[in-house]
Amino acid sequence: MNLRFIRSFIRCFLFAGVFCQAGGPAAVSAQDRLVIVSPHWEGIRYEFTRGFDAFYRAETGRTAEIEWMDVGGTSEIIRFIKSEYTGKPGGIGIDMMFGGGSDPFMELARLDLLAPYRLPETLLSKLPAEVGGYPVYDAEYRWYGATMAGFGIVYNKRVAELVELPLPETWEDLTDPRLYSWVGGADPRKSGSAHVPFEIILQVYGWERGWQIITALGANARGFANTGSQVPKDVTSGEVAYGMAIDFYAWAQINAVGPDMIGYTMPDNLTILNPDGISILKGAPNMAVAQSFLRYILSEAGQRLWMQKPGPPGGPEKFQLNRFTVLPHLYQRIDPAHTSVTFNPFTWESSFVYDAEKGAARRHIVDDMIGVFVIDAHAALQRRWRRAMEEGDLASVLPALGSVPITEEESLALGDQWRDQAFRNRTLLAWSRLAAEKYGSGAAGWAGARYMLFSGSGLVLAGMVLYLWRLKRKSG
Amino acid sequence: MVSLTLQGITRKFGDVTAVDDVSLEITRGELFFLLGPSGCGKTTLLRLIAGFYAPDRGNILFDGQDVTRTPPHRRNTGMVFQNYALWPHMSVWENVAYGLGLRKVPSSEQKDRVSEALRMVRMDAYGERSPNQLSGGQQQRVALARALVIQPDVVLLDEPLSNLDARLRLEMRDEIRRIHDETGTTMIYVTHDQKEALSMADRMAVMDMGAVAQTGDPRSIYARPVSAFVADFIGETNFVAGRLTSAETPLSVETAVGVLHSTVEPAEGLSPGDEVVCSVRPEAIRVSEPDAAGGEEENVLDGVVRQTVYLGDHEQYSVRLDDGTLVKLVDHHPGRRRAGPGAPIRLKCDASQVVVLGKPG
Amino acid sequence: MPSSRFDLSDLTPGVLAILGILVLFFGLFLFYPLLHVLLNAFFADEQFSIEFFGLMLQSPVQQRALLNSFELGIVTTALTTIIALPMAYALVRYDFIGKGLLGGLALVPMIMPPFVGAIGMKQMFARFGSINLFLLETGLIDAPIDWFGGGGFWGVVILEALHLYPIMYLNIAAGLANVDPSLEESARNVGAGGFRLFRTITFPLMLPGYFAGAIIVFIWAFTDLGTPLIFEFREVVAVQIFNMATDVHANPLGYALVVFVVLVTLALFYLSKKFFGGRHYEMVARGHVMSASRRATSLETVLIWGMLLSITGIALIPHLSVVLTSVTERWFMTVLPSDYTLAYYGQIFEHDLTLLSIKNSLWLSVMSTVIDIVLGVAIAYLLTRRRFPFRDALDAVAMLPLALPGLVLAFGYISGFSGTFLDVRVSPVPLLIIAYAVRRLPYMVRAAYAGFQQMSVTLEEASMNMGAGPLRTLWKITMPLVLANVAAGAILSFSFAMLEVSDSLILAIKEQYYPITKAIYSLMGRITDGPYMASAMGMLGMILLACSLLFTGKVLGKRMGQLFKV
Repeated sequence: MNLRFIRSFIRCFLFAGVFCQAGGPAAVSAQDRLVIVSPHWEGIRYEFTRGFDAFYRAETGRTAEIEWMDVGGTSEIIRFIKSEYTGKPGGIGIDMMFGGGSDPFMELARLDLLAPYRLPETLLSKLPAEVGGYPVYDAEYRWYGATMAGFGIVYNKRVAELVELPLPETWEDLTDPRLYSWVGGADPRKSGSAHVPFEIILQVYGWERGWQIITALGANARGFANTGSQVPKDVTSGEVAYGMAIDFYAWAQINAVGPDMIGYTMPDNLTILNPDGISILKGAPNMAVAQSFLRYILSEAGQRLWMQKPGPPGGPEKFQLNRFTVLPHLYQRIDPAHTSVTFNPFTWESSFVYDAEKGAARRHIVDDMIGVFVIDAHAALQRRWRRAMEEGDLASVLPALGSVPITEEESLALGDQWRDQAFRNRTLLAWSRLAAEKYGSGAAGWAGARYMLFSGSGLVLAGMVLYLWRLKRKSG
Repeated sequence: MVSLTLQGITRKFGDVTAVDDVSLEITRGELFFLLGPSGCGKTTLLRLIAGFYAPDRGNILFDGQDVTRTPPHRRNTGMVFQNYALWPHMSVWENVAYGLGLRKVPSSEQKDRVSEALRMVRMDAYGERSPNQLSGGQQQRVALARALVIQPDVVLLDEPLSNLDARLRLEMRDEIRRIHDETGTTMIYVTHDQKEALSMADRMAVMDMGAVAQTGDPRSIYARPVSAFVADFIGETNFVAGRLTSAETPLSVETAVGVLHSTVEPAEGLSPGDEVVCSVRPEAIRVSEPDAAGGEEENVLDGVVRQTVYLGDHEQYSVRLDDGTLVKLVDHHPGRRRAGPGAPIRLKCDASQVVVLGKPG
Repeated sequence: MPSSRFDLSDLTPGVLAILGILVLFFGLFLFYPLLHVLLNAFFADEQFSIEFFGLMLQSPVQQRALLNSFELGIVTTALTTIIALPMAYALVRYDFIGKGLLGGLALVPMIMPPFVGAIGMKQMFARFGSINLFLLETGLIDAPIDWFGGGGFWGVVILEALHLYPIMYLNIAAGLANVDPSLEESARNVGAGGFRLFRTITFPLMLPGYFAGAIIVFIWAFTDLGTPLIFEFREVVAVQIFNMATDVHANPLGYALVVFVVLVTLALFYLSKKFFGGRHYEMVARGHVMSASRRATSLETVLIWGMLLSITGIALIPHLSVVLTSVTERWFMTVLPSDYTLAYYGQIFEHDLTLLSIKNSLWLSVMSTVIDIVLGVAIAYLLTRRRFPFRDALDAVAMLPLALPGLVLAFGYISGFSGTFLDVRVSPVPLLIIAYAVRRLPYMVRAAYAGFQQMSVTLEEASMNMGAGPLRTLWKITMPLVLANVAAGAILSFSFAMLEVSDSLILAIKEQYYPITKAIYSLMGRITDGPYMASAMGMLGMILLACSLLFTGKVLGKRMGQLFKV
């Protein structure tokens, strides 16, 4: 190897590094800054950064830079915020949280970690108080719904056709044994959007029936992704045919490959539209900027970004966001040719009233129960489910399989104890044993192979070590 | 060039004492040899002088200046390594010029001195070559030039010829000797090859197990070894064991094959009754003609010829003495064969050629 | 000759200073965060307790996860052996047309950051993905094959084996190259032939190399997070740890699992150190004459080509699918995309997030590589040139990051430095650089160590003797001579830093500091064209890694294998 070449290579290398640093990260030159933690995808962040820049300039004549923080999904954000506040109760250096549904905001409000801000009357008057029985903003102005999300079932029409399966109408339809392995799911412990449909099921069908449906649906499930957005992708790729998903994930796929390929349904009277929140965190270092951002988000200019297609004036520049606005009058005002949302949630009627307080209170218990009884024990559950299918006695087996060790009241009471990790883990251990009992370990055929595998490899390893030891001894 | 003084140098590696209380005086301009079997500590001693090791005890003086704690790069020694240690990323010229550059020698002078050094080792035509393109002997010359060009106070040579073939080795011996005479530099030369030492050295130290066994010029060491080890290591010799009966000159030793007398002053104090060995070089033993005048003869050994090897210019005899001791001798005028295998033979040696030494161990 | 080293017992101030810096560095950025994480496993409500270990061992879920992880490790190791052994044998022992090409191709699977491959894999192997659609269209099957079925175990094993076999191949090839051909010849001479020759001579001699590779593969498969996550195969330890660490309540049970994983990897690490400690460096570095290969007959050539091409072909399916997805305009349930575009490659260089992330990655990786060079050279220098107390300990510590899941370290950094000036919320840059540096340091130490080992110490002594001080000697003699090795190690460190996943995902929490990998991850979350854009980014990463490996291979040649050993 030519030495001079290597030398000059290294010189270039170092130069490149220094060069990148010069033009590189953190070139914050704006006068004001705003730190927002958010699970929203990059398109939303891009469009609102751009929009707010103009808005803030017009409002104050100053420039503002938004620092977007990404600490993971909604669950991770909540955990992060809570643990940060235990160390620094006065404020954690973050101004706002944006996105993640409504439950997390209720939880943070209950923990008194949000800073209230009452919007100016001109904006507040245009906001409806509720949609489908669900508050659009907090009565004490600690959080506002920035947009809304509906929950339904996304499905791949071509796959359903090819494998000759029915198209689902309700959550219960997903428990149909013919759909076995064709249902996609996500882990509610990881994904906030995966959690909501399960809570809806528990509320619309009741605790006991609800658990049976969750268990059967889980048995039908192919697997459980870590993010809710993976489900519609798997549906589109044809790995599964059905999945529970937030509306805009589904709309995005439908827009991409066409309504003749992908379908989306919101089960009548069995689902909800709930606000997707934004709020200012307690002790926000840039309070004024944060309040300005809140005004922007809930202004018409901000709300148009959710619904309009990119291109036409007033809308997003690059990304199509496919989200609902929370301003009812905008549904009429935006040119139908320019909107990507064809459904007006304010005309949507549902007899089902979602109990948000209940949902938020037992959220972690329900998620852990789904985790233990459905997701962690998935293999055993599937084996048991298949056996029941072969034996044709699903109806008689389901009540036993779907039984849970605690009642609805107990689930609500457990919330406080759940923070004690030792207690929580002991309970989870007891539950996982119960799950094994319910579904049977059923690993009979596998145990022999596993035994052979381990003893075989143990022998090989021992032999190798012994052999090498002898070799080493011999060579001194 | 400097004179060197080593005072009670001791250096241990773990439990092994590599150099054990060595004291030496090396005068200016001397070609001094450190000679000994492998593991005797001679290379360690050389590296102590170069400064690569620090002694556990003792002092090293260059011209009376204590350099014991001076790091190697401030000692101004020029070392020739056994594997030459030429830097493969530099040309021959650059290798030689390296030390001058460090000494901030002006470049015009550098040029003169490098070419002079290369000329001296007869490598002036190879300046632009890479060391990898040179043969072993050529690399060795470059290493020598590199060591010489900085005009070191002392040149240290660590088995410089051991990686060369026999013919080249002979040639390089003369070469190094010539360069030494030309430059007049103090040189310390480490080798295990006694022929190299005998043929080149002004003076030498024979080392054994970390200690100096004997110091002196080649002749005196060969002729007057002070211990059985030295006698055995330098050249070939015959040992005949016995007991000292008279410590006065001439000494007399009673052996199983008769009394041997020696007129050589013993190196260590011996007293009558001591167990000793008599060392007699093969070339000092003559075959006594059986028909020579009878009567009491001094220093006579009787035995039976075991084997003879005829080599043209000399003939080697291997003789088993009456007590079973094997003795070798060399006949330098092998005009005729004196005795065949199995034939009885009488050997004679001059009392001035018998060295009485303390019994080893 | 007692020893050819410098004066060993003397701890000069310089050496002490270097040691002090190293102790500080490792103490602060390896042991402290590690301890921080591990203490969580032992403390429940501020009290020492091993309850979580009890819970871990009793839980059927965790038991299964532990067994599955072991199984995954064993089966993956076995599979890579089966793939790599004949491959290495053919490439080391036979000469044939296109040997260089095939040898290079064999290494290509390494250039895939596994989670990038996942995008393509889904597109290819979904039940209505390209492969099944192709088979359905050609009438070879009439119902889709469930590739990811069976709980995902085999999917994970196959993807990991396809990703890891080059490491095994490099190790076995190095081991085989190590076997002095004359040994085999002399064995043949006394009548040993065929299998007997392999069993009695070749195998024992290549065993150390094989064992070293096997341990790396095992640890990799045992702790790998990305692949099981992709396949939603959650019953393995790594995924369990990930789940618990990202759990809303930061379940300490996860830390108990971490302790377990660290113990297992350390045990294996110790085993390999104990039996091959320090030896394998030299064995490969000495560079035996490689005259053992012989010309393959034409039949053999055809067989070898067939074998190597089919292995590489299968291993390259994910890469191919990433290439395809990166140029896809529309691809819905067809064998190949129905519309193509190159727009995503253009967007990479226009889009703020991607452009910034490329800059960030370059900067972060360069800085971490500089740290690696300084520390790696210093460590390798101390290890080869000086004797000092706890030398073996330093060696082991420098290699330790190989055995640590990146996840563990990242969490330690987050929690351990929270509230200090290194807090990732202030700026993740320092910790990202350090995390990259720590994680890739072993490669650098390896590379530099090999360089120092090859270089006779007398070359440095000669320089000192000529009057150059230690620093000047280092600069003028030592560095130029180990430069090739250092450059090779630096390039490896650099490119792996560019593609480091777990640290980046966890530590880079502000968008303006996203490195490439997190940008890819973030792009994947983009709803429709996300995967396509992420693939285009992934291609960029692959090209980068391919170039670096090519360069490294050129510099290191046969010694490349030793970079991938414990």
